[in-house]
Amino acid sequence: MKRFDYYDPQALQECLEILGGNTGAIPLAGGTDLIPRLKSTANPATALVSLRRIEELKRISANGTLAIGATTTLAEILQAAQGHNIPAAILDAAACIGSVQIRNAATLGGNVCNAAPSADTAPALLVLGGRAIIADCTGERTMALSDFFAAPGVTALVPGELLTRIEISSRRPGWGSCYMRHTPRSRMDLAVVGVAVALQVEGASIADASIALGAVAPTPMLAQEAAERLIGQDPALKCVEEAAALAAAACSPIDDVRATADYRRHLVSVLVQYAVGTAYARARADEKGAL
Amino acid sequence: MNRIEMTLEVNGRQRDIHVEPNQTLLEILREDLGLIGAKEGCGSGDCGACTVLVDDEAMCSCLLLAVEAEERQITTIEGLVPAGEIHPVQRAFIECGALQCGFCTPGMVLSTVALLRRSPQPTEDEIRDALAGNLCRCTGYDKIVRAVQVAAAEAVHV
Repeated sequence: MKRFDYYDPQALQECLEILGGNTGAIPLAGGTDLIPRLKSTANPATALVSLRRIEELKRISANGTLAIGATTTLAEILQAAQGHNIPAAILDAAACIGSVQIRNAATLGGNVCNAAPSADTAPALLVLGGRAIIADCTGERTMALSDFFAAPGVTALVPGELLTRIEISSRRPGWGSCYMRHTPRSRMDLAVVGVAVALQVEGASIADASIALGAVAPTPMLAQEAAERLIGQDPALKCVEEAAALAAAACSPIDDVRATADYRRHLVSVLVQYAVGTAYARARADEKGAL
Repeated sequence: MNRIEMTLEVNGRQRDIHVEPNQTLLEILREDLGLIGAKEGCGSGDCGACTVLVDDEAMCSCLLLAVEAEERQITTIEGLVPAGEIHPVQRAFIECGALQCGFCTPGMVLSTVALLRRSPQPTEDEIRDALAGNLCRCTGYDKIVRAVQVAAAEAVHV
């Protein structure tokens, strides 16, 4: 690994001042994406700013809205499922990433800010109305997560800014969500296609719906027209197939080593149908962990 | 970049070291502390041969900068039991034939210990999930899974 300056701030404001004064500095959370990148790249960071001591970034809090601190690890999110009403889609996504070792280090903020088109937590956060809370040394701003992903590996953060937390709707009765993906291996793989669905069910029909897709466009994306096709409908009817077809048409997958664009569109259609079914069942069951 | 003086707690002992920020915990363990049980199989967090316990959690030491490991309790394979003794998980691996070349074994044993500490009676699915980050090119995994089941069945304190 090339050499870099290393900063170890004790508090958030100190961290933001370092980032603000040093445009080549990269924040270090779990390091599961950043460290391999630093080992393999010719032109890496000139400075790393460790986030490990900054307590504000690690908290999960719920006050109507669920706020997950950016350096909360995926393992911590899975463990917190008992005490907090963390929506099932987030737990599905966190559980499928990497391995135990990776999940003990990797963070929600890191997965979001690395901004891979296939980032597993992104579709889950999108269907739950995710908002990015971003700070710099002058203050805070909030941005819809759907505006946060700009291009593969690129976010809306400008130099000096740090994602501090993600806010989403907490679990509410009548809601169910899920995230599922297709991978050739059962573990330690990147999503060929990822689909998240959140549904609000009233009686037997769908009162509200959201669908998001990963790995089938330059960024994780919402499939709004597909979701709208479900609203007011009984999911036993053809509307689910139609929504799935709309989602497949809305995305723009590429051919790559993992799959062809055609196969990805096919997988979107299949996974949307499965995911709607699972989210609907969870909403009807209203068990802890539903939504 | 300056060398940083720091103390690492490894296998219950405080070790004073000088590190560059760009050195991983794996490098420091192997090259400065002589603890060569952790191996570099890939350097990118995919194979798990570098697995150590950090505050009782399994982590890849190739992804952890040494400076980031300050104030955390590190356990390597050498620190599982006192020298000369053998840990029940190690005994189960030997008795079940769960190692051939042995390169993945320190990581496999530590991941197993981490699993059994949090989930003393895991299902086979839970075992395979817990070991998903530890690759083995020799055994085909079956005897490793059986060794974990044997160790769990003995219900020993790990």
